Amino acid sequence: MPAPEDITATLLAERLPLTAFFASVTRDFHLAEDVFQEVCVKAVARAESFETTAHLMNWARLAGKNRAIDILRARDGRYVGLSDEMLALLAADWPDQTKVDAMQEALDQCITQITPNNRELLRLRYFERRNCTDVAAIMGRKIETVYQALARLHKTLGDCIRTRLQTDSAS
Amino acid sequence: MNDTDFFDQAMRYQDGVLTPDEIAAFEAAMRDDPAKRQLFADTQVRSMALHDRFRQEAFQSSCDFSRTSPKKPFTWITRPIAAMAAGLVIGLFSASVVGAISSPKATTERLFSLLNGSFDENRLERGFPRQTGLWSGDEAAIHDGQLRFISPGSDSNDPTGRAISCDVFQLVDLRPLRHALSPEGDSVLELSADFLDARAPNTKPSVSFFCQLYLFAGDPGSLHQTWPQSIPAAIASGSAEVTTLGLDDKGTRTLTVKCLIPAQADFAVIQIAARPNLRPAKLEGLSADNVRLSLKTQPSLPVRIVQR
Repeated sequence: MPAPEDITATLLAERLPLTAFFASVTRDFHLAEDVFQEVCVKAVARAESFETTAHLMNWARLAGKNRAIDILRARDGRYVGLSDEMLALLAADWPDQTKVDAMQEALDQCITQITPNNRELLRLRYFERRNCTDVAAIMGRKIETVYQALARLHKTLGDCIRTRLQTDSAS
Repeated sequence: MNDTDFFDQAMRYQDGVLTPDEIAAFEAAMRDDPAKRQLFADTQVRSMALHDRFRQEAFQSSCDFSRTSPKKPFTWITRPIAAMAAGLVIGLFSASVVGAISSPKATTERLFSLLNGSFDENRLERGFPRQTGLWSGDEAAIHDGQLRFISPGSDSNDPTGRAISCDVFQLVDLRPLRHALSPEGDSVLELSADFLDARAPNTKPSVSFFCQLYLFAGDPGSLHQTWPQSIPAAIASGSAEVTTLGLDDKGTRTLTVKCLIPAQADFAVIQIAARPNLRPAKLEGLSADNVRLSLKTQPSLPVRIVQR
């Protein structure tokens, strides 16, 4: 059974992949972080019930997913998003922090290769919490162009990260 | 669905614009294809990492975190994990308001050790505060019961630093609270503040408001000598932010942050700030009000198992 301080350390170390999973439900990264906070507090309160770290992580993903759905139902009256079955499938192979650490290091390099305009697009979408309609208005583009640009950017960054990780592991 | 179409649908899913039928088709593409599920997971994690990165960059600009890690120009987590674990960082840079976890046994006590939170008293000093109970910071003014942000300022301990944001601070002595803290160590300090961007709608540049809470051990009177380089020494912290483009339908925004209070916490640093996202820029029409600090003791945090 992990000690309470180990639970805290584990959840904090896995913050990014956990919040990314919660964001699969919320579609809002800030709200996903709020869910993460609540999961941390609940986990500490029931520390004695976790038998292993894996048990804790499974519980955290499930509790956070349920909490996120509850918040959306309370706010919007309904939840429209990925089904429980799909979220469970995704959770089974969700990246852990070890993989995310390597990805972040690679992203650090890859993001320097994109244009200032594309960087601003990502900043508006992922930092300023703008939806794509707002991003299109701010950048003077059509909304379809924004979706295509974001999709292309994710593909480019994903390919770049994969290449860097393969190069690193080969060397 | 090829990868290009899949990414396009993933962006629309993130944006919340897919209809139930479109979500079903998106799911179908993933259900029988582990590679697509991996693509989705990687996209989500990358998006979250981008969110984190841009936020950290914003904070790094204003706090010059790089001097704490000279070999690495960019740090993904600015606080050491050990320090974070010691304090259980709650409220990590969240922008929305979360209701307290409901508990019939929870108690909430407004703390009046944070003084002049409604800015009724026109007392504001310059520079990082050297004593508790006093607002002090960059160029700002108290007017009509509100704190008006006037101009970004650089940190006095960092003469080479750029003026990024207008920061106003107050130190709050937590030692008198110790008797009120839950013995289970799950007392939560909650800071909230109202922010208003009264500029005309869609005024550029955008402005980010920040509400931050740091807990430290030691002497509050000496922190000004090392701020902001001492931020990594915080034993717990929380931060919330919101970005605005002038007055909109939402009007005043309330930001709330929470921190579990470690037993060794001696004092808190309350920081409220406005940062224009393009510089130089005047800070006109930007104000804060109603800064509140509450202690929540939750002797029995509820755990709700939801069956679906």
